[in-house]
Amino acid sequence: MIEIQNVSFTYNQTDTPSLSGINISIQEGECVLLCGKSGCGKTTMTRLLNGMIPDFYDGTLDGQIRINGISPINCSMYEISKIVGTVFQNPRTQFYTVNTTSEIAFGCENHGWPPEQIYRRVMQVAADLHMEELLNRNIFELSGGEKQKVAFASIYALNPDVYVLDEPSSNLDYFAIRELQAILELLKKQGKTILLAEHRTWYLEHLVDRAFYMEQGKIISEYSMQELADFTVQKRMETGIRPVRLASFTIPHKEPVPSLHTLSMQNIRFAYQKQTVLKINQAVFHAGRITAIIGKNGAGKSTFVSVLCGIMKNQKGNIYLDEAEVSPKKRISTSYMVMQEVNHQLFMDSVEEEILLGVEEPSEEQLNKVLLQMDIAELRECHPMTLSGGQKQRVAIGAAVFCGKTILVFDEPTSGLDFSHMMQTARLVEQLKSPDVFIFVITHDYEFILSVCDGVVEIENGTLKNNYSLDYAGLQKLKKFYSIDVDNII
Amino acid sequence: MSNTKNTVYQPKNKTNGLLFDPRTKILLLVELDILLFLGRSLAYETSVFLFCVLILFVGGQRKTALKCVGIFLFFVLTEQLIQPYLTNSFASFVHFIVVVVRKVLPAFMLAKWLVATTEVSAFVAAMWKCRFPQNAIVTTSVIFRCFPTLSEEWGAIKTAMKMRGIEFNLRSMVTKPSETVVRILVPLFISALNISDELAAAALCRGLDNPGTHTCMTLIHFRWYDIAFLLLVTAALAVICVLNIKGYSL
Amino acid sequence: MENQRKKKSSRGAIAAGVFIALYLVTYFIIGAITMPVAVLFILMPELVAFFAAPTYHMMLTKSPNWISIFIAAFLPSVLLIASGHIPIAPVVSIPAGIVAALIAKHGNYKSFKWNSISHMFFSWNLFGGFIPIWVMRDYFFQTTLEGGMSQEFCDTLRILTPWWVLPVMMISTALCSLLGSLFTKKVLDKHLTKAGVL
Repeated sequence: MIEIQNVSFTYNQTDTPSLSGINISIQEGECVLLCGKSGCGKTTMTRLLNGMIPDFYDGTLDGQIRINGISPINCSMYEISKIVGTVFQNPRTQFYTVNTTSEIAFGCENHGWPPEQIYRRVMQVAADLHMEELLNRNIFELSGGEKQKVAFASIYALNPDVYVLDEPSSNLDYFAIRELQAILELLKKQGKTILLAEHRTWYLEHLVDRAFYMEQGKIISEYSMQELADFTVQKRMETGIRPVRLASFTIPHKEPVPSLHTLSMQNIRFAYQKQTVLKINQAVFHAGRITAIIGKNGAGKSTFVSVLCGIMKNQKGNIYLDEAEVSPKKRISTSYMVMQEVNHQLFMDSVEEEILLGVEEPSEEQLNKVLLQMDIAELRECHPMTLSGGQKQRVAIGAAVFCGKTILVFDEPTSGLDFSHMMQTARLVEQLKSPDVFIFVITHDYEFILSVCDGVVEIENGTLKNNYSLDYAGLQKLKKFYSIDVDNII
Repeated sequence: MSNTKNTVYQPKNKTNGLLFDPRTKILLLVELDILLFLGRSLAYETSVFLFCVLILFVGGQRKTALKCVGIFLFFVLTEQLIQPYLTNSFASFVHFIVVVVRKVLPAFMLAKWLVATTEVSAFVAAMWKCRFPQNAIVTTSVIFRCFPTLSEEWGAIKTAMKMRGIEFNLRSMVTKPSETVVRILVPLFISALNISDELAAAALCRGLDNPGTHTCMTLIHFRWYDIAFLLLVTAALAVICVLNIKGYSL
Repeated sequence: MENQRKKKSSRGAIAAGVFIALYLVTYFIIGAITMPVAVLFILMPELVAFFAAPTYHMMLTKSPNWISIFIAAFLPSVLLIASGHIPIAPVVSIPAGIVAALIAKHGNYKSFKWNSISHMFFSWNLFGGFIPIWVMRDYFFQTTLEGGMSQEFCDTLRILTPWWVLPVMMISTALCSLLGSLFTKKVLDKHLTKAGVL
């Protein structure tokens, strides 16, 4: 079905090739995984197949590509879209219309199908993917997982032979990933060819036929899912491939730092547009610990954290730092949040200025220390927006470290990171542990929680459902939340 | 859903009433707006107003129609009652407001009706039918779809600014305007460019650049009442224009 | 090839859409702040001309064609009609859009000088919503006087908006637009280039 022969590609803006000497042959109906560390070339591979190279991204391309006998390099993206469908990472920016039904019809309309046929197809798609209740809704009101489902439906409507997916699970919570799994099973049953570039492997154990490990633009080796499951932690650090079986994943982590400082919330009520969105009766947190905040997408985790940091003012209730009440204004000045979308919080022209922002009387020595710690010392003069995603994230964390605030919050710091970079981030966050600092991390990342978190807070529908330490009993509760059973294979 | 399986997709009628073609609605709005200003007597104004009420009534917004009739009556009454007191400047002011708002009420009503009873997909279908250039249709569809996304981005940037201690208020605008504006615009522009790229990638991968015909799932066409209303209003407009030119005062 | 052009223009059309959306957001935020207060009301076109300049230049960088300019000029007036204002705004915005497009085309949409001049004329499309104050004023004042309003009140209102305010506003809007373009080139572009965007 797909033949890639001796393909090399270099983007115009860089000197090093992103792909060199790739040779792959994929049969019809196969499901293939591309894995490896960030920057290894997985995404570039996906762009070869859907026509974005050479149409969207300029560069020099050598070699031959054939999809079902046709060479995509010589075709327009429109022609390629008849046989190859692409689902991207970010559910928010993939959809073109505002209404779900129109979105599903979008591809068919572009291809000039007769209106009656489009309508029938839309109904069929909704039935096949079990999403009738998602029809005719405003896309902006859907959750991330529902949006991704609509994105899939939109591609499914065109019935391509090949599906190309670029990290489709990045922005999804566990429950949405299970639905994604179900869709992929359906596609496999229909005999579609699937190519996935992914970090998370746990939901793919029974779907993927072959996995290709890539490094610096080359395919290094081919594995089966069983072989990937048997990797040691050290091998995972080398290759960046995440564990396939979460049930048997363990990792040692440091104990919390003893501290007497407490942060407590009493009778917190926060309402948005006349609806109570956050309701917390009582909660106590200790410094010197890293607390994970988990919950479904839309459960209220961001609201919880925003109220905690004082960004949103709670209408009722109080927050106490060591028995002394702190107003929202004071909380803003003592807290720091590293946001999920790093681009929103980089304001300066150089990495150095970015880290120094907002700090009065900075110490040069401290600055140098932080730059080394974050492994960004040689990027000192660069503009933050020119850096890679991982580098930007390290700059943002560097700024968090440097400012020395009391309450630190990280919003999904590891989504889309491979295993080794996730561990690196985990170690960095761990270094921040101190008796004077409260650390909170909103995350879906099970491996991250295990490696570095001391306690877990579960938010559901704006209320605190659970607040526990991650000891043996806590670990069982966590596993239950993620439906990870030691006996069952996910 | 099953009984509509074999029918064609019609733009959803958001309320009960006649389903006008979106092009009819736009034409009616423009023509009636012009008609409003071609005559000044209360009788003329009231008749135009009542016609607009009729449109709302058959077009599916009965409650709003009745509410507007109520408001209109209230304003007319207030105007009459306040007549003897016009030497008082406050009363004068109230009179002015009441008259002005009453005059634009029909335009406002029709506009609200247009927006409330028409789906975005119907507007897009109308644009295709009117053979607008494809790029114009793409740009216009993207504009409306982008508003919520851009305001989310803006909200996130504002939050980040609060966090980092960057101020965006009147004081910062006056004391260091250049810096403040740059701080906002750079992340905002970069967000906008990223959104634009991702949107374009997803759209092109679904065939946006097809040089052939694009179709529309939503079907719109003129029905008898579209034509009836349009003929009526256009004829009225023509007559009133002629009368105005001839110098009659209405 | 034909298809390359078409695809590049689709991409540009989408970029134009995003930036016009930004322009509209700027327009409405400034409008919301300045409209209620009578004095600020006069400042509205000037402020919009200044703040919209970067967006305008960026739009032309990513989508160099007349359609974007025309839609950017025409759409706000359509939205005014759709929210119940008098449909006279297009009478101003359509010529403004056409003139702006022709001027920008002169520099092939890529020359900063011509784009800035284009923006000046483009900014005059904002006057569509203001024209009624002068053009329809006679209509309004006559009816209200007929209705018996005090002469004194009418006179006060008239003083606030004498005929010469319109040309003054037009000139100051053009000036603010130039200032905005200069700011874009001298200040903003430097940051954006460093960020790797331009």
